[in-house]
Amino acid sequence: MKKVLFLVIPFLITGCLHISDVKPWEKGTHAKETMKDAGIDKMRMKFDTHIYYSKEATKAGFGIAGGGCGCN
Amino acid sequence: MQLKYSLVALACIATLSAEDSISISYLQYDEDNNRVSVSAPAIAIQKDFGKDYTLDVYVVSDSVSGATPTYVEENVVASSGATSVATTTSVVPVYNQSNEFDEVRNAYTLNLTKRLENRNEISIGTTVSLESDYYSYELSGGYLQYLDTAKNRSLNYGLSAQFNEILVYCASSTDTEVCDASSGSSEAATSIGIGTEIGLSQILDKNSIIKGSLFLKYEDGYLSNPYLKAVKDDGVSLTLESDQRPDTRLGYGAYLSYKNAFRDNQTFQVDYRLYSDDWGILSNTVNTKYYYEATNDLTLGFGLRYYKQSEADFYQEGYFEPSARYLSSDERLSDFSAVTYTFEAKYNITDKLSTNFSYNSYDQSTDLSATYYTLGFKYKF
Amino acid sequence: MKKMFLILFLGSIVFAKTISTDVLKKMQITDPNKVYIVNFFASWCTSCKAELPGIVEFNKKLIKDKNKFEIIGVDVDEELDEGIAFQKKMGLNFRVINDTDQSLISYFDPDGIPAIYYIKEGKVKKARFGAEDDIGKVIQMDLKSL
Repeated sequence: MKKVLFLVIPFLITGCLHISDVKPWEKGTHAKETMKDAGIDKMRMKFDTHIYYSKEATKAGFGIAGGGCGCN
Repeated sequence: MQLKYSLVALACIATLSAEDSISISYLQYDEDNNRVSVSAPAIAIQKDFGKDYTLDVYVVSDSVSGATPTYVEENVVASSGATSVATTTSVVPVYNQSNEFDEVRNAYTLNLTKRLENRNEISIGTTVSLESDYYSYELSGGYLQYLDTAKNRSLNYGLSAQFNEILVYCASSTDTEVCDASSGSSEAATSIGIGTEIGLSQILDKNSIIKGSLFLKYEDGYLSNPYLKAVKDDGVSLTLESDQRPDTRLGYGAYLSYKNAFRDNQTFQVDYRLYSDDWGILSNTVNTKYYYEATNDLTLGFGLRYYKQSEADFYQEGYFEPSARYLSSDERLSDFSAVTYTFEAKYNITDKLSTNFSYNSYDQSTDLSATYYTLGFKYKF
Repeated sequence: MKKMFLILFLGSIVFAKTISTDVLKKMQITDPNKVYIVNFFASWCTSCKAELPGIVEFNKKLIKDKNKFEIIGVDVDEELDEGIAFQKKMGLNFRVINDTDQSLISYFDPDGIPAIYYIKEGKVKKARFGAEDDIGKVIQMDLKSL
């Protein structure tokens, strides 16, 4: 039960936060590379993932689900 | 007063995902004590086909060199092929230059994204990874679904299936899992993996976004490390045995990330990952990044990552009981923590050409520490 | 599924609305006999960037009908410098209004950018959101349908 609750936490948090209505033309900041999961260098993130995968025992959760910002 | 659009408001809001680009990057990874070095050139191409399709291609070639562990009786050298060492002293793995290896891994990834009329996205991808003694094939699919008209909230589903084939060196004919019982020759062992993930992404305001996801991965088949040995002690003699892990593994966890551009030119990112599996591994990862756009063309990044894991139920540093079913002394399954410091920079040489550099220092609480550098160029066309 | 299409269809029929005099003045939309093609874009919007060359090309053809049609660009970049640099880079051959305070786009309130509004006699006759592969052809078709 504890585990289940813990896993649901991300969704509870996202559901409870204060959210303002951001219009399509207000997404200039969200379109920046610095706001992306991969940051300013997507290739480096791929190297990072490969290194951590081979040196640590965690074998999942490297982020196949990226999510969109509707800012393109 | 606001004016809502008139007569025909087309439901189709199509966007292009990104600009076409080609990137090349080079990784140099070196572990202290020269245990393992990796040189990896990589190339990535992103190309839009009309407004609805984007193709991503990624190719990487890792050249890994280093030393494989040789198991030695204290002060007495034994060869790695030895199956039994009669001794009452300790048997420990050592890494020395006499047992060097050089391997090349080539991996090819293709990913196609299709945008639907309502701007939701479907993606399918495949990765093939080839080594002399290892082959891996992965298929993946994803679906991005926007939940509101302003595209501020989205759900993301992902599914992947992996098939691996490993050629296992047959060191002991008694090792029936990986050796042909009659001929004693090496055999190909296989494993499959199935992963799934569901994520929710929410733009909080003009400058911040939060994402949360749940993930699950199931693996079945040969999950041991064919290069590693463990030592059994029956009270009379010590015996080298192949690393032996359970045939299945179920891992699951949660991921949460937050990004905030708190100044026009400064962004902070933090993410947290919780992972647990039925081998007894529980891990926590916190990753933070800070970006500073020093000028229009120069961006600097600083990263700090902390990782901690508990050990696998069957992991042991020392000797195993003769009756032990699973045995592994692989330090990667031990209880340890790790810290990574990163510095990175991106500079726009021209409107279309940019360069990236990064320096990374990785330190585990085991005796493993490494530094790695990346250097790359990206050309938009 | 049928229900969804019905909702989309009904959602697409909206009555034309008159634009306020202030906004028309700000956009210098003065000729009642002209169709103004107003394109909202931003430098950070990749789709806008992909679509603008098509609009520039189409505008070359439109020049012979300059008494009947005019393209107006509205750059919604908040940083004026970034907007102007972007416009230069794209080689825009039509009039551009820099909507740095985003008051114009807030007034029109499109569901996405790029957004194109067809304005005639002070009224929005048609609107289109999102990039198109062949924008010249699409505008031509839209103009015929007005």
